[in-house]
Amino acid sequence: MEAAIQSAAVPSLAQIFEQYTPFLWRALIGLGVPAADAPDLCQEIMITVHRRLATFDGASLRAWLYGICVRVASDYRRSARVRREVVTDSLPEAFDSADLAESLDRDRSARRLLVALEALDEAKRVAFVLFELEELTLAEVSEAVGAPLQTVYSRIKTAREQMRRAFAVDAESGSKGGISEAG
Amino acid sequence: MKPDDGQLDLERLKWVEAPELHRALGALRQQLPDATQLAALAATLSVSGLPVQPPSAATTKQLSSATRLKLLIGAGVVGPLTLALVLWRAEAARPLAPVSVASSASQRALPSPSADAQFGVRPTPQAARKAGVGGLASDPDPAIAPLASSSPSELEADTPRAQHGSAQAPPSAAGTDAPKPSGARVRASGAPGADSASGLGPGVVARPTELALLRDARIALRTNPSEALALAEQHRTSFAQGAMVQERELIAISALARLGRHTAVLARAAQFERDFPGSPYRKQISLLAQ
Repeated sequence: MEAAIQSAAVPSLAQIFEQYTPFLWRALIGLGVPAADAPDLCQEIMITVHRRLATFDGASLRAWLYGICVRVASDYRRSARVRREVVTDSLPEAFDSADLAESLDRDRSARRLLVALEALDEAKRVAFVLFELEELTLAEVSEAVGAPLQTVYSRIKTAREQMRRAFAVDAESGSKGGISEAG
Repeated sequence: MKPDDGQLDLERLKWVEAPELHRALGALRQQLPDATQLAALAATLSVSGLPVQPPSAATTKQLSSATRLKLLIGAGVVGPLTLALVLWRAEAARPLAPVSVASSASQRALPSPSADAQFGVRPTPQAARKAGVGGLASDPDPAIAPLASSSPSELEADTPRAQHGSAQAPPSAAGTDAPKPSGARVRASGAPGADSASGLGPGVVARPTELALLRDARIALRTNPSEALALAEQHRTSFAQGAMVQERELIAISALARLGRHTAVLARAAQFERDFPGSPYRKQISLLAQ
């Protein structure tokens, strides 16, 4: 029975893959990884999980996984020196025809968000993405990034304000936040 | 003075605070990998010796039939990779040790024959022909008209590149495509999932080519929808009576959507609905056509 409880507390790699991969994939994109590279980085995350799962302390699996995800994305961006144009390639090109589907409109909206996120510094971007996009709790974000709760709190608040302003400026000026420059 | 950690709480951004930002977050939240991308990733991981399975094995009970079918097709499209899962199981004592995909396997992991039958991967090639899409090569169908007429030059320009791409994967797909060189043998010997489903039995000579073509198209869809579209078109001409016509259409319509060719998406999706009213892909395609 204890074994069963233990296995319920710490899922197998296969279970983790099933339950979390789609969201870790999405988080990578939110953190500035081009969609084309998401599979490779997901693979890296899962290999790391596989190696370290035995040492997981059981506090919050989700926070632990996103912590790995954040580090993998950060390493990638540092090594790849990702340019803004690369990030905007993550999603389909901007469209300007009148018969845009709602789904394409969503893509454009998501793309605009990615462009705006590029203006944040890394720590704030991470906090914002984990809290607002991935909907982790404040405590989980804190655990994932290894920063005090209050630090994370202020990072999210600052990032949110910065993002809000970016979208407000876009709305006033009619700019598409750099979207139309892509391609 | 900041509140104590115990009292520290923060509500998520509300729509009224920043409607556009809120909406953009919702849009980005939908940027999830599709089932075939996950299946390809699982297969790649299994090649590396990680004990994961393509989602079709473990999550089918939680998914709609359409998603299950797509997962199975994904497993079929990455056939060479799924075989590695079999090999991994046979060599489970060697974690993280890359396994050779060239050796034969006495069994395959996914999809199982019973699963194929259950999810109705393909009625039969005859049924596909009867439904009207199978005979497109010789008898142009309205479903293809938007594709063919809206940018013939694009197809012509892309096709040679696409054919080249069949032999050489795009660099970005290298990670998921590693076992490709051994693909033909692997498919012939160990991953006949779609073959058995389509009733072609041991006729493995032509079938891997159809699978390989759609696999390439599916991979290209991630990074180069134009190429995916060209490969789908190539499938249409080379395998007019193929067993994976619906999958081809799904890829083509996805590619058109990613290219922003919404009119073509609508026309082709409408034709798909007429041709395959009972298709498990209907929901996905209607979403693309929204």
